[in-house]
Amino acid sequence: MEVTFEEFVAATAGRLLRTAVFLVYDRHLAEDLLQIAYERVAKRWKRLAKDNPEAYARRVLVNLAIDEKKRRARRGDLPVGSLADVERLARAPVSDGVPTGDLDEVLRTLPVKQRAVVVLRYWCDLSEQEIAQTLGISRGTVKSHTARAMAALRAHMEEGRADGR
Amino acid sequence: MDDELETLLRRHYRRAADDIHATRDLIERSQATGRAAGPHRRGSWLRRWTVPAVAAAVTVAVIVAVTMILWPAPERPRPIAPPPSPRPVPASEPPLPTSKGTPAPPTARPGRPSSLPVAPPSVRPGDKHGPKPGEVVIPKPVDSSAPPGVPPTAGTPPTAKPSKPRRSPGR
Repeated sequence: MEVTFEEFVAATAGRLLRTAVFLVYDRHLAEDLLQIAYERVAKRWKRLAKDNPEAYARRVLVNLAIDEKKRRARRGDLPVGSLADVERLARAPVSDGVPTGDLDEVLRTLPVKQRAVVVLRYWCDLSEQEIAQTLGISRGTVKSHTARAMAALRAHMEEGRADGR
Repeated sequence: MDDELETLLRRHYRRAADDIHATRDLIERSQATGRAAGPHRRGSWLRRWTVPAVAAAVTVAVIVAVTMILWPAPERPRPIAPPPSPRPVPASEPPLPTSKGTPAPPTARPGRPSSLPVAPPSVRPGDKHGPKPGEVVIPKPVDSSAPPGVPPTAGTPPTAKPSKPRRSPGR
């Protein structure tokens, strides 16, 4: 029995939202990216419904997150929006659905592609081949991104241990 | 070390995921987005391509119209007129020879340089060097008043304008 788009959204929204938040560390941006991803899935729903719509949605989401990072870098992170937006954000708690642990600080500083590889590997439990397909890169590049990310995390852990002594 | 780190990362993500939930509002918004984007694909395709297609057609029409208006009209072909001659050419004059060995008219129009050799007006019966078929006939001067010591200029018709001065043979 084929699921409808509405059922698909209800079943996957939580998982994909968490993926988006781990990718961008911004709840509002994550929701926006998720909606764009769902819109693209909906446009191709007839074809995707028989296949794996969640994998497609995840691929769109990850690539949107990477592009968003580039776009922000080009814009120079200029603040945009109305005064009401600023007030709403000021009232919102600092950790509004965004993880703020010690490890998150390190993950946040990783380059976006390395972070994406870590999220897909340790949150989505994808294999190297699946990560390569999702990001549109080679397996070798996935390995190198993973190795660099793990080296940065390892260095952080060793620093923490040294500080704890 | 890596195993420990991997375990730490998995545990970290699982723990952090407990605090992130999709709200009812987000799910409804996403479903509404899907409904708006999904059902009428054909109509959206038509809307997507109508404006570019019309714009392209109008552009092509304008280019064709401007080209038709501004393109210069082709000139009517005119026959190549001979250069102005000092004296009128008689209408009964036969055409110039176009092939080798064809007898040429006795006079050529002055002022018209021609590289084609012109045959002498007539061949004397006693001349043993008469023209053979396929042979280029070297004209001889008709003017009997030429000095006897000066040989005729080879390859130049008697009345034609020489292209450049030639030295007489033997010098």
